Amino acid sequence: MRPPPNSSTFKREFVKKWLLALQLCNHNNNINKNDVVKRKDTIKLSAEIAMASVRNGATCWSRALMAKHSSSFHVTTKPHHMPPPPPPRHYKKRVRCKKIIKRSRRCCHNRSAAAAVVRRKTAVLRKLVPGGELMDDEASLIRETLDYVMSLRAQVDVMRRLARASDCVAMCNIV
Amino acid sequence: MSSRRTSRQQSSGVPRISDDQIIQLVSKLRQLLPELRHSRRSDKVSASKVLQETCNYIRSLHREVEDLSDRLSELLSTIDADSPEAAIIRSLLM
Repeated sequence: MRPPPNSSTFKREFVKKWLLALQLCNHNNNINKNDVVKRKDTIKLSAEIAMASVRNGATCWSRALMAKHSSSFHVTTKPHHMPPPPPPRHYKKRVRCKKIIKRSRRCCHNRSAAAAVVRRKTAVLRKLVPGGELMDDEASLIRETLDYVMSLRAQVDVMRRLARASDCVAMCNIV
Repeated sequence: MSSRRTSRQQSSGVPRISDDQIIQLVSKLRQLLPELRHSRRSDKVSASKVLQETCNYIRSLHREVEDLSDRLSELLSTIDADSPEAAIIRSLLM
């Protein structure tokens, strides 16, 4: 997995792609300017696509998001330096290895109770991280989660600043 | 088949994910979480607590995106990227 760009680079790239995505969404969907609900959906969708597109296929979560939205967005993505996805047989070997380890741990009751809790929380996390259900080993899931959380935070930060900036612009227009 | 617990590497050349690596990843996750970041380093936080906080944090970020999208849809009367408002906003953000 390619490491994420630093936060300010990410945000700059995100803004560029978001504005472009908004324009494309508008063009594709012919949104009535008074339709607030539709506008909200457009903003949210285009922000999600922009966030995934900044990572450019380098992570499983970004690929999952692009795949999820490709039908509604009518844009084919051409990731520039997309690394090949890990070959499935490595995952299968890791899963078998992990199953053997998990089986041998079951004989220790305290550990297994704690492990069951961790497994439950991990299952919840898989549902929250896009593409999480496709990841078989915990390490990949945690790495993807780290990357996803950092990207989400940057997205939220940009959106907050945009909301504040729009407030300022709106106030200047009134004055 | 060489996928045994004691072997350090699988025959395919992919290193086994060790528990230490998972512990390291979990501690990185902990650094990201606002609830747990400020607790003292000596405090032992269980993996399940970190996972729980991560799930809570992701949910709160999703909620914030929802709220901000709501707010922005009201604030932005046009989303035309060529409009002068978009240019002002872009310069304020960058």
